[in-house]
Amino acid sequence: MLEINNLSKIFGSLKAVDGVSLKLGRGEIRGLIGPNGSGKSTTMNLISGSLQPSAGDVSLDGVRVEGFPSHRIARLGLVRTFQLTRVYTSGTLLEAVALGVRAAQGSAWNPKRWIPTGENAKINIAAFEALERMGLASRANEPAGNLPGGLRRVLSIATALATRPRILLLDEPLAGLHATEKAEVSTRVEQLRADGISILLVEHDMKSVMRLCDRITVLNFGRVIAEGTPEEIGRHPEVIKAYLGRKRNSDA
Amino acid sequence: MSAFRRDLMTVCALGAALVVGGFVGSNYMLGVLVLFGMTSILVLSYRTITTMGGWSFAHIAIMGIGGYSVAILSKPPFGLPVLVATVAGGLFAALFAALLSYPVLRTRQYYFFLSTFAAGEALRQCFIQFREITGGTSGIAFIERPEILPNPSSTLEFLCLVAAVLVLLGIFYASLDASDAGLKIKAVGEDEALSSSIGIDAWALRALAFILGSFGAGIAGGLFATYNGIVSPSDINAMLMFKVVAACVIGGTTRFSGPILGLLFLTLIEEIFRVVPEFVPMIWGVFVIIAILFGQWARGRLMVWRAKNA
Repeated sequence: MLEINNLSKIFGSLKAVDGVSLKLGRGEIRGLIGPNGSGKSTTMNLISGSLQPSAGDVSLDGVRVEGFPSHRIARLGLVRTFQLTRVYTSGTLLEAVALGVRAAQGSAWNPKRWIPTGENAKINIAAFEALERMGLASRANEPAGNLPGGLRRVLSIATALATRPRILLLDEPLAGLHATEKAEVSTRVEQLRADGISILLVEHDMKSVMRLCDRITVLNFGRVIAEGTPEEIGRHPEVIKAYLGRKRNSDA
Repeated sequence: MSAFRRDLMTVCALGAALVVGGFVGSNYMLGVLVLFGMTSILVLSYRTITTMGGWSFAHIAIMGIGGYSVAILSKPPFGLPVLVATVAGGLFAALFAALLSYPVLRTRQYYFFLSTFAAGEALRQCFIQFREITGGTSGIAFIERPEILPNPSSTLEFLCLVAAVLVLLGIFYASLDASDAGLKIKAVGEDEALSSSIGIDAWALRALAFILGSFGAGIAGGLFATYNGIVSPSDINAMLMFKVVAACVIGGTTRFSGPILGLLFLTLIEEIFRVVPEFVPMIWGVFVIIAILFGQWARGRLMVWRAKNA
């Protein structure tokens, strides 16, 4: 589905991402981990079109998409969430997610879209389903601005889901959630995999990463230092040295 | 009541109020109402632009395109009917906005208003410099009133025309605001990165808001030109631009009633201080500052109040 080859991004003299390659299969959850500044978010930005790669290529089902603007990549079925949560807060949760449904369809230049359609039942149903999938259905009519930080992250996933993506890039979806919420969101992410959505997951909570991911790619200084199943990664000496060794005891 | 219906009510009520006011008011009042109606078109079209998250400072210069189009197209060798020329003026303004949107809509925030300001100023200079076409600093005079009015010299009839145009454009902008495109425009205004990430072509929607908003400015410019009988670079003045922006700041841009009430407020001040017109900009400025400071305070109180009553 998603294939990236030799992806690089150079900021001045800094190689933020240095020849990263990975393949993401259908219905796979791939963890992307590494210490702070190892290039995880930059990789996400390169794949989703928020940044232009300096070299390398990104293919979606065989179509080369590197250099495409992010809205085109999103229309092709790859949608990301942001590390610093972004959600629409001016309306209700349902309205916020409905924008996700609308985003996936229609062009600005079609005058038919300049005429109000009133309460669009189809769009609301699709939005409600997306909320349901992330467990927010009971709050559908609450103002999105009142939602606590952790749940805003969940809402941002629901908004992305509403576009019916095939591939989701989740940037620290569990940050700011307490233990029970983490468990619940993890279960829901597993359900997304069961529904056939491929997920690239950047996350610092190692327990959840180990539980959720089918395979894990570890970055350090912009390079892939290891790739494998959670068990293999847990044993990998270089990974332990670079990342897990320090992190294991201070698992937040 | 839905926001769409409320906006429709606002423009219809305003149109009706203009006509009724015109029938009962004095001659002086009639002139004020005509100006108010035409400025309302400017303010409502400007509001459409602000919903995409950018406050343009080229609106009045783009209005000038409408004015000059009417002046040029209604005279020989074109000799188009004034109303047709006015519509053409709106289309030219929209076309200019489309060309402008390519460079200008790549900028954000203060870069956006600086670049629109520069573009507007450049356009004003063009009106001054291309003398053969625009008449230079003295502009183009002897523009006729629309021929379809039974008595073109009657201000009351012209007021009715302005009210009709206002209502038509108001309905157009209200539909746009409530439409799929309008919702996306506001989404882009709220968070452009998020909107792009879920598949909304942010640039196209910002451009759409800018182009359709500029269409209204062109129409208003045409009406100003045919009402004044003359169009000149001095029509494109900072005062009018400031009035439009101030109306949107004071009234807020969430719903149509906001900018209209803001404009009403500014017009009232203008009329109250008519004997000392040199003080009007200063008083407007003071109220803009009060609106910004008090507006935040009032929104804060409102949120507290709503939270308590939720």
